[in-house]
Amino acid sequence: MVAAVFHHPPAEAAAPRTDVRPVPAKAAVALAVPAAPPAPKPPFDWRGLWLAVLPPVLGLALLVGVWALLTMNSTTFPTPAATFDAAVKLFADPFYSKGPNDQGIGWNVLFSLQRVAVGFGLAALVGIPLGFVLGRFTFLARMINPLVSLLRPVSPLAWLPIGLLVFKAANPAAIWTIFICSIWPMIINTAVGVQRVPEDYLNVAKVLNLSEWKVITKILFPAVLPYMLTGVRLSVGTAWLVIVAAEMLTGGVGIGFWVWDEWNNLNVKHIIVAIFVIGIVGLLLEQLLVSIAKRFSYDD
Amino acid sequence: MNAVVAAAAQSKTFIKATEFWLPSSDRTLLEFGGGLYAPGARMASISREMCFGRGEGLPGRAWDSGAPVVLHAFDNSYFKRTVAAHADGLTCGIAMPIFAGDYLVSVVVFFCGDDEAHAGAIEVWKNDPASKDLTLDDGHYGRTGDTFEFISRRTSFRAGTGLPGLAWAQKEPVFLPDLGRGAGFLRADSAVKVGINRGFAVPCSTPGPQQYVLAFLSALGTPIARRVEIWRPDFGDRALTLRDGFCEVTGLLSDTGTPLDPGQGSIGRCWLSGLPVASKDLSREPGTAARVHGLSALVVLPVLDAGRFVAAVALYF
Amino acid sequence: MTTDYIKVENAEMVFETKKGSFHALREINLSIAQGEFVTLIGHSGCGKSTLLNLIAGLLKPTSGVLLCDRREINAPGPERAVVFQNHSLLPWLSCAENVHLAVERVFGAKENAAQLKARTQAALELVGMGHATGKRPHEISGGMKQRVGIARALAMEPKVLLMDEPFGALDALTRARLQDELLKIVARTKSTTVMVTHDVDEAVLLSDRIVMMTNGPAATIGELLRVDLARPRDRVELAEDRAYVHYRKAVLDFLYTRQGHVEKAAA
Repeated sequence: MVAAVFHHPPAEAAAPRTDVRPVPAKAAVALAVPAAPPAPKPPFDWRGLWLAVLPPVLGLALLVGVWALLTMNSTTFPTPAATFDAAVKLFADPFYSKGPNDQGIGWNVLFSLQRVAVGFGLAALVGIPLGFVLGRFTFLARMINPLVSLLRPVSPLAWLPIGLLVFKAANPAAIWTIFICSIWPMIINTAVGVQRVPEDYLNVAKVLNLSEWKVITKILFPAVLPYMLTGVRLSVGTAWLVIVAAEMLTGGVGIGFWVWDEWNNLNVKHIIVAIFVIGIVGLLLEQLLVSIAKRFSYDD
Repeated sequence: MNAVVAAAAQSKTFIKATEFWLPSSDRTLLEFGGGLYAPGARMASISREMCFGRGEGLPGRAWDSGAPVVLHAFDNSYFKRTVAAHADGLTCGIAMPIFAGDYLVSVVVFFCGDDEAHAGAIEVWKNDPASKDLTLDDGHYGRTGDTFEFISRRTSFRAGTGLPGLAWAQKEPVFLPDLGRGAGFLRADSAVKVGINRGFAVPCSTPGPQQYVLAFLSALGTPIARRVEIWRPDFGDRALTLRDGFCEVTGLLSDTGTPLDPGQGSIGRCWLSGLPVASKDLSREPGTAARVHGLSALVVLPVLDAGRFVAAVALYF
Repeated sequence: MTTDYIKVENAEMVFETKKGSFHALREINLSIAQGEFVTLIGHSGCGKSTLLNLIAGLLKPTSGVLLCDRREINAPGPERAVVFQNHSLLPWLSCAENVHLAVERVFGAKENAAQLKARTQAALELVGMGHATGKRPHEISGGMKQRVGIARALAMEPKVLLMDEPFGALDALTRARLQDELLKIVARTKSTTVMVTHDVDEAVLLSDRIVMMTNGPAATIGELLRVDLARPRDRVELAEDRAYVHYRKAVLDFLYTRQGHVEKAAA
């Protein structure tokens, strides 16, 4: 999935295009409506394709146009053209490594994603079972829910200093921040999902006299899965957002750090490229989870 | 007499004759206590002279068994007055014993005749203490078609539901003016639209664990009686008040009329004595019934519960 | 043939809700014979589903006792299989897997996989769904889903089959077809069945006895009617049968007229 970003460089989207090929344009366009290609039944639905692809492309062209207009005479803010050149240079060699603080954009994105993955994975490992337990046992739910409500609105970045204090290093602290911000939707959604398991299914379990294990694996888990995945989806967006901010604060490696570093170098072009990259990766993460959710849903 | 009254006077009743029997002073025999028969009825003349031992004849049977008895056919049965009954056009008898505890107070016998135009039913419902169901023990059905009997024989009531179920639960007579069983054709070819529409049920006080309820069901063409009244003692047991009833001439009866003192009129006498009373002279009766045209006779039945007087049911013919 | 196969003795059911207590059932006494098909009928809110749930063991009575085969009913179990009103098939399992879940639970300890599979297939064929075993519930119609629900219940070879308005959510034609099939199935399996329904025709067509419940709250059994129609019953023939018409009318009388009278008289 990450590779997809580099097969279809976002730079292509920076220049307005009238003659577009469906896949790259869609992958690159941050504003694109995720329209699937029409069903492969003859005749091919060119018109539908046009209608799906043309508006987002026009939107992007408009953005670029306004951008160009505004920066025509600016000295500080780069023009689209200049940004495009910078992007090309960057993506020419995305995986270079000249030392721990000077890595290619590819590596930076991967580092960030790795941290998200770890933090996220830990949040899932802790949050989902906890959500199950809270959904099933009301006493525990009454115990823990106030805590959740209290801690949830706290900005993840406020947790960062605590992470730094405890772990004394940037990487674990960032992961901790991801963990603490993505765990809440997972707990809450899973708990809700468990509570919302239709009474009928539980009655079936009772009449069949299923063992607790069977109830969990055959009934609760599949019933809760859609809710769980929604929780995961919500968390992913936040996690990706937070990692960029956390990295700005902690430094080291990662796309967030790179943005801050380029700001220190006053390399605005790179910052703009970074914005696009961050947006695209976020979009792709979201799309991935949507497709997973679809795979596990069952229309009733 | 206006047309309605005249028409009401012409229509027949399902119960064609009523009589009651009282134990003799030595309590070995049942002696004639009184009755209402059609004018010139043979049964009237011969019944006055008769008496029955325990288990003998229809009244004796009811006494002996301690339960209501329905006799569908008089021929070749234990009935002692077959010839007279047939002469009067009577074909079925229902005997209802009234006990105060184990002590027999009276046996009341209703007679019906299977005339073609007669519709209605008298049913005996019973409960075995082991079950909670009130089921049909037996019944006499006029020409209402098979519907009624067919369903009744397969129905059980629980306490408080249905006409017999209500009487059973409340342990007092119940009158329902509109049973809502709808209209059914009596005989399609004669195109006379009749159906069971009204009814009253009387709990029988009998010894033994089984409980019985007698249900009397009227049809449009042939009411059970021309007028039915249910009287109950008021709160202090000082007077008897009319609670429910129906008159074929005037319609539904409500809480009207002056209450009766003990011993006042036939109904008051029934209350006082706890025995059935029959009268052919309504002019001596207090109350509105006496003034309604077309009524000529009255029989009053006491309803007891564990020996205590609970209500009086007055049937006018 | 025991006449007290299912026995309900003076059962009462009071629900404690936030708004206070709700007296759902009062003084329920009922005996059901083995192999008998009994229908519970009454207006909405008369507690017929509550009574069924009590017999299933999904509810415990506030007072009173329920017995099945002389043993007290104190928990739900596969020997009192339930067919729910909305099929309750697990949507993430195929039809066969849904039935297999039940079969495995009941017979898994003693039989091998092949035997369990055979039972599953037999149950689905019994309800005419042998061809669609691999389909998911969302791929089949409402009537078919209900059939699978019945197959799942029957596959457990229960002592008692409990059905809570199983055909209520279906259109009239499908309902008629499933009723006919149920007649055949019950004739074959001879199971003791208790069914809750709103439908008078369904009650008369299927039952050996109809239990008519009074209106809630504190509903109780009002009348019981023994349906003496010969089996096998054919709906087309019965439509003109006088006895069928009388039965139907008796139930309608209870539901739509007598209840009104009892209330008037009690008032």
